[in-house]
Amino acid sequence: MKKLNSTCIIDDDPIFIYGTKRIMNEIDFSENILVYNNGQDALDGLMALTAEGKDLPSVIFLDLNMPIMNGWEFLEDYVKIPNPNREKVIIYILSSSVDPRDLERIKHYKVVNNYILKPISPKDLKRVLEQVV
Amino acid sequence: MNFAHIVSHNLRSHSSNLSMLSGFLAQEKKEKERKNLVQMLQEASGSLNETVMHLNEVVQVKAHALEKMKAVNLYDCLKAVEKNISVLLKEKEAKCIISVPRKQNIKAIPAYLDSVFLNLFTNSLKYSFPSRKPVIEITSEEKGDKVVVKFKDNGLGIDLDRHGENLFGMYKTFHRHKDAKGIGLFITKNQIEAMNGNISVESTVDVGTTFTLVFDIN
Repeated sequence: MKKLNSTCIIDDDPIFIYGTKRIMNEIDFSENILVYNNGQDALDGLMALTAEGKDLPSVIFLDLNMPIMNGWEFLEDYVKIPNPNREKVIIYILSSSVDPRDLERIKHYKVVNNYILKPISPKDLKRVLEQVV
Repeated sequence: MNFAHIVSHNLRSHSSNLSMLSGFLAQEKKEKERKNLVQMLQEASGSLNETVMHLNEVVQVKAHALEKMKAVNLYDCLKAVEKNISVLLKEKEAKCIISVPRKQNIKAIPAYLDSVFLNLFTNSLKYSFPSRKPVIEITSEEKGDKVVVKFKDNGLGIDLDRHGENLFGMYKTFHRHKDAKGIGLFITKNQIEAMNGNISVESTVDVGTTFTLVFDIN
């Protein structure tokens, strides 16, 4: 299967990031992996890419519970990034939340493609790859 | 706070890390990477342990609280806490103005009251404004059968429009500070409420924060 050119992980948990990167490498998921530790850093980073005239990553994995700017707040601002390929980017919420209120809330965000419950598995990522490529 | 929320945001992140890491460890052959995984497993189990302790602390706050209430002198309590952190105050060149009547007694649980003020003091110092010396002002006023205590600082302040509803929530952090854990104000609020009081906040970014605490007069 073809691998992705660029993927982005937005999460504040170093162990989770380690694990996700490890699985991504195992299944040859993506050429490049961008990591941001909260919504604000991600927004700044993605804006910088846009300013350089570069494309956004094809897939974004977004955690909900993060300091400084959480996943919900990121989504509010993300849709304002003036990047021509923004609408092609696929966002997955990746969270440990089993709170029905969070799951309900996700439905209201059109830019969010799907929800993946942590821990992430190779199966989850293979499915993402099938959907995207 | 409901159970699904606690499980989702406090426990599952650790348990899912533990299951992920142990899965990796079971198949990892390289000795160096195994060591790395074991270290992360230790960190994850340590975090889970810490979270369980925090949750236990929260449950303890609510249990038998009213039985332990007694008359506490507000001024003495503030002075004792100030003395406790005198090294930190000096280090930060902070000024502390306690304008509270010497004879003001409130109904409180002494250990909780200490913990509440200790947390407010250390927060003010932790989130002080970098280019000015911290000034903390504490005043009190009687209103009917209540004592209203104002705890004011000139620190970083906090954007309440954005963070207001989460300020006293568990594991919510708002500043880029390495020691921010998001447990202090959550426990503070629980302790104050266990003493039949309440706490509210006003704040302006870059100007400072004022906490208003209301207690019963003894």
